Amino acid sequence: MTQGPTKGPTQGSGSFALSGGADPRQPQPEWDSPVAQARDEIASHLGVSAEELYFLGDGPLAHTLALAGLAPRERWVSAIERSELLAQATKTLPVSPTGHLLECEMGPSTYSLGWVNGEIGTIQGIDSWGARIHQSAGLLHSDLSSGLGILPTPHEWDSASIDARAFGGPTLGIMALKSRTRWTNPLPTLSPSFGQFHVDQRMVIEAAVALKRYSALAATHYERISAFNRALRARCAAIGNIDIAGDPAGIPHIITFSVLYAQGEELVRAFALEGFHVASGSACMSTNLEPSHVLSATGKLTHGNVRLTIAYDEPDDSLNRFLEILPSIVEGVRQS
Amino acid sequence: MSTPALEIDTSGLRCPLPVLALARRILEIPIGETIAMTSDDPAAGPDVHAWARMTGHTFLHEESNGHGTRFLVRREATQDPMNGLPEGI
Repeated sequence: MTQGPTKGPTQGSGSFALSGGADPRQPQPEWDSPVAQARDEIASHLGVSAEELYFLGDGPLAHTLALAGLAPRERWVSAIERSELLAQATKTLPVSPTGHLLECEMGPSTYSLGWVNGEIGTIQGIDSWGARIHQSAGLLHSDLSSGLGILPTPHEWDSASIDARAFGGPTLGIMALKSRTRWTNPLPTLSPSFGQFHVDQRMVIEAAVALKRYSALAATHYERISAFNRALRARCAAIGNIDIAGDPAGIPHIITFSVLYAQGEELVRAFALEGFHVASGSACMSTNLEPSHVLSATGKLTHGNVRLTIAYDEPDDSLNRFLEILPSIVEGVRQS
Repeated sequence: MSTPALEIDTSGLRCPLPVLALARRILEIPIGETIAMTSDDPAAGPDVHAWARMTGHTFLHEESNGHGTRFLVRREATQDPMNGLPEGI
């Protein structure tokens, strides 16, 4: 299984290139042009060339491979990354109560630090961390899912991964490798099941359309959703005994808070009855009865947790109604 | 470490019940004394820490044994003497 370092992406057998470009030996089908256009569109959002993009079956696979394929060295993963990244960690890097990576040892390791946390919305300074990591001869993998299309994409990374569902796209994983990045397929025996030509190319087009739409909506409604974020934080503070996770300066559409003495499951149900579909990082809502590791790592209350991921085109009426019903829902669930 | 003024066991209870029990029972001991709570809920560790920060009590110590984790918390003169407990609990 182990391969020596190689220049650029390779895979085990040598006969099937995991390639970002079209295979010149094959006649190009008619859909090549729209697909090429879609790849260019996604690449431009990432600030890379289309040849640096690889499409995979889903987001978790992209996250897994984007980190696992970097040079085999120590893997230092921030404590609030996705579980498939933390599973590869040789060391977990602690974060502050707002979810920012704390000062840590710099060395020639492979770091994994996500850009915008998908659970609490905290934004990491990927470019400044990346510059410091590169100065120490380290490598950086970054999960870019939750900020893509909304904020200017950072560039000081070596490999990146994106779950297309984060921007309203299909079940599709995107891996980006800088042309200078040395990446070796960590699963060479699986190579025929992933790679450029084994993902339904319609998914790539669908993802590009979704990203373009999402980006336009975010540009139009960013300030409006930011105002809602501030209003919700103020409302939680006024109600009292609510622990708000993340950073007020985080991405506005992701807000997570925990209601003291409330059960997460009951809150989710109470909101659903009012037509609001919210998630929860509380243990009672997880399959293994473990609370969200992001809440634990940032020292937040894990019970009574509510996680909102707001669509940028969510109408004001519904946002205002959420603010209106919040106090009575909190009161009702706390007393039940 | 001095003997806790009160020892409670919330084994079998899941969140938010262990923290709710802690919030209620700590009111039975004088300010400055400690309460010990044992819990086998995997969420209790982060929750007891966060609860102490939110209410103003002092988290002193935790230790795990075969049955779960035992937390030691000192009662302080907090801003809200009722620990934010809703009416009727």
